[in-house]
Amino acid sequence: MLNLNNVKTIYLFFTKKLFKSKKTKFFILFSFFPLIIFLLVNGIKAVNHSSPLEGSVFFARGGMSFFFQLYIQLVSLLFGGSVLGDEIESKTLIYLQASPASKLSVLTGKFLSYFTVSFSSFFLGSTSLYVVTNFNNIFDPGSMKTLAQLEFAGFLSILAYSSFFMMLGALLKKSTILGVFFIFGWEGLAQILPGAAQKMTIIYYMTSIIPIELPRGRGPFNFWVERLPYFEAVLMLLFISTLFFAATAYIFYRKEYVLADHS
Amino acid sequence: MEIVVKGENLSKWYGNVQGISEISLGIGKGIQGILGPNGAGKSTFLKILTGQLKPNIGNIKIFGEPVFNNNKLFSDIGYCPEYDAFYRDVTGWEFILFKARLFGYSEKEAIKRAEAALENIGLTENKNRLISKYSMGMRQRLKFASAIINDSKLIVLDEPLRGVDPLWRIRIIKMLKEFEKEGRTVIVSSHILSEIESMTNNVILIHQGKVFAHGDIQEIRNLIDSHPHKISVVCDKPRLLAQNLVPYDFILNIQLKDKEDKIILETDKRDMFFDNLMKIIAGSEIDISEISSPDDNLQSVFDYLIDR
Repeated sequence: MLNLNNVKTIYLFFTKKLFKSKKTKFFILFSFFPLIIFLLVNGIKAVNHSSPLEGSVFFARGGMSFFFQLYIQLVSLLFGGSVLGDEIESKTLIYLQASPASKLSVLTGKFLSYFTVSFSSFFLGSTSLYVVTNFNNIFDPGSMKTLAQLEFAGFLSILAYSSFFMMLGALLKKSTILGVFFIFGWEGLAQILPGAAQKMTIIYYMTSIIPIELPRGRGPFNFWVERLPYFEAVLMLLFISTLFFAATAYIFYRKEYVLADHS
Repeated sequence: MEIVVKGENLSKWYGNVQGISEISLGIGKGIQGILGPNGAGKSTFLKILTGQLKPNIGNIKIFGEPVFNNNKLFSDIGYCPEYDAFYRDVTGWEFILFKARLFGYSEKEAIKRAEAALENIGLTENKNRLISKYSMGMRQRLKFASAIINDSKLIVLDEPLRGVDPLWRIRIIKMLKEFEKEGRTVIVSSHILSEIESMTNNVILIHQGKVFAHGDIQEIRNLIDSHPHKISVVCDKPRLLAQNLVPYDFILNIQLKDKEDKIILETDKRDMFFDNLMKIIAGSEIDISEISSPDDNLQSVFDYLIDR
């Protein structure tokens, strides 16, 4: 079953590989997008002698909206969906399948690796933004607590989204399309549907643990809804992560992947 | 013969497309060639053999154990897949070391084995280059190195010589023969007859998902009774030999090549021919210097089997 040595070997190999990849470099750069916008706008304002953007307000509104309503979903989709998806598409899965490492070890090692990289890029971007936008009171206990809560919310959200997209990647060939529909279609639409529809999204639980009020949904679905109690939302995100990880493990164990034309 | 791989009634479909059909076979130690044209079902068989696919019907065992989802079994199996597929952003060294570590070796042992494997296939100088910068032949050799890194009892190689330069072909074939001497099992597939022929006489011919023949080339040849065997005899009295052979009904055709002191004949009963040839030689004092079978190679057997 789970062999920790194999998990470690797989984790280290893929983490190193991922940090060298263009995709990771892009996402790390992308995580600085709000920071660049903040610096750019304040630069222009300084030139025009107008009052600068309030750092803490930009961090809470613009920055966190970017991270929690776009970045986390995208990074989870493109990394989580690649845990098995890339192996299948590039036909490298065979190197892991025909090895003494169990499928559970392979999945655990790879998932942890992809999660590490996704969360690191989020952490780097959000923390940098916090440091710059709260430069005058970086060590203010209140702000520090908010930052820690945001990082924790990001941690759980990436965990939940990644495990969901990983399952889609294990199940379907073109999982990214379905993932995009889930993020930009269903998660918004579900907020205005009656009944328990919004509970069948991840964003519902995620926004319940963010210590900052963010608009729920996206675009035309952008409005406010009630939050779930904090610990209930935390437990739900952990449950979602575990459920989809277990589902992926089951699919990976049972499914056979036809990697090429049969000859 | 100790059976290493045993397949029973293996059938596999991809939707409505048949991959292999009712393949039953046993493979023992030594080099086993799997031969067939592209699309014959070789790779499907090897994918079932290496646990990538489950047969729809039948079962396969290696060392007496089922294969699918039996990862412990792969401690004793080395596999070189057909795909030219590698991880991007990874060097040859990182890849081979990763493979060694997956086999459970300590870091020190893994490094030792990775270095030895790269040395064996001549990639030491290029080990720190990204695999994406390797030539196809180098990538192929790297895959081969990853298949032999654990001294496995069973090595499965799917088209291992594709894209490999002639010098390394010879070296790899030599290595395979050494593995055979060590008592290991090597299963190697190819659609190129000369490749297989240079490695082994023991072949499985697969075509349209079925095993057409399995065994020694000569034994396979003998199975095909209705297919005429061409035999060339060089002797001092070719005309006299031809005269003596004409009356026999197992002789189908005789060509006389006076200039070369040779006759080329076709027979559908090879054993009977050789029995009688001895009698003729003894009775007419013909001195035979050479007997050969010009069509006794894989190509002719294979062509015949496919056309049959």
